[in-house]
Amino acid sequence: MTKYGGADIGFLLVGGYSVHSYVTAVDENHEAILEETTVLGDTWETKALVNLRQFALSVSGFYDDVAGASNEALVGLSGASQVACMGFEGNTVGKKFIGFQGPVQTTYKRTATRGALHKVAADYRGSGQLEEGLVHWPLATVSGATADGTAVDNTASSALGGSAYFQVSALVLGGYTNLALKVLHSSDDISYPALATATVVTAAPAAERVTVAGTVNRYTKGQYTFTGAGAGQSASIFIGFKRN
Amino acid sequence: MYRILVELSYPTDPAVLARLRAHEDVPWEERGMTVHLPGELVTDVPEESVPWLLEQGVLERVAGGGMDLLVVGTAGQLGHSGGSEGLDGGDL
Repeated sequence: MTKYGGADIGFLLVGGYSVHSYVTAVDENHEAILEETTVLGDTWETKALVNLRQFALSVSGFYDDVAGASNEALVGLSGASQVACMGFEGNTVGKKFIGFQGPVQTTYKRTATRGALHKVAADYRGSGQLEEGLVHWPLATVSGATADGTAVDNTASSALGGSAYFQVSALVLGGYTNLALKVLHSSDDISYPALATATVVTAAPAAERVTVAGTVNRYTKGQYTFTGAGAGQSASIFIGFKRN
Repeated sequence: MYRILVELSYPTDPAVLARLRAHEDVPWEERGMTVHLPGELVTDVPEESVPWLLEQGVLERVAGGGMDLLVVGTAGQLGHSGGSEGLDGGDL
């Protein structure tokens, strides 16, 4: 068993915004909904699962007005369902991350106190599911034309599909047409067909969750490609995959 | 010959394939992966991958390779030998 701490929060991405460098605390909780089934004659309360779950997410940290920083990421309160990813165990291929299908931000709070830096806090309510996947491309800046990530070996294939998470927190196309992100899979770690493909990205921030059905082969890995031609391109990307 | 149905990448360098077949961990930079898009015709898919790629619908076998070359290319693009414009069965 390995214990983890604050230094192991490898990334916190919400709708393509990378906010973990501004956050001092994050609270994720999910619960199964119960209904009380106590009836007359019972001396102890009883409850039963109603086969419904929900999640909530809260973050708090420092106010920062730089483009793409905490204020820009949180101030919108658009009510839109977003895609969020959080790395609890670091920022390494194969480590677990939490994928949030549709957190909707419900609050944004800015606090100014004498003798202290300004603080921010935000709450999200789940509109969709929360799932635990594996990092396939750690949050990092890439600048090549294309590359595949390190393969994740599940030791066997699975038959129930999965969910791919794609986040782009910064993008300089440098003349290229767009940035394409994919999850590939393979039975033999030699040939890799595409498994899940994100909508091509032309501007950051951007985030997407893509579901796939059916067979997911033993090996999976992330891939990025700048489409077209250009120079001086770069992007900060994250790719994760949850096998069902 | 096979037609690509789902975007597919694989190495073609025999030395790389030999290392992979020996279960050596070959970095992506050394693999020299070639990427093929749906609709492309290929003949160099690593042989051990063919069965599962066919089974999963990533590839389909194309019957009569010569006819398929006629479909995807013009006469000027077809291989020929000895200065002849006629089709050379050896090129098919």
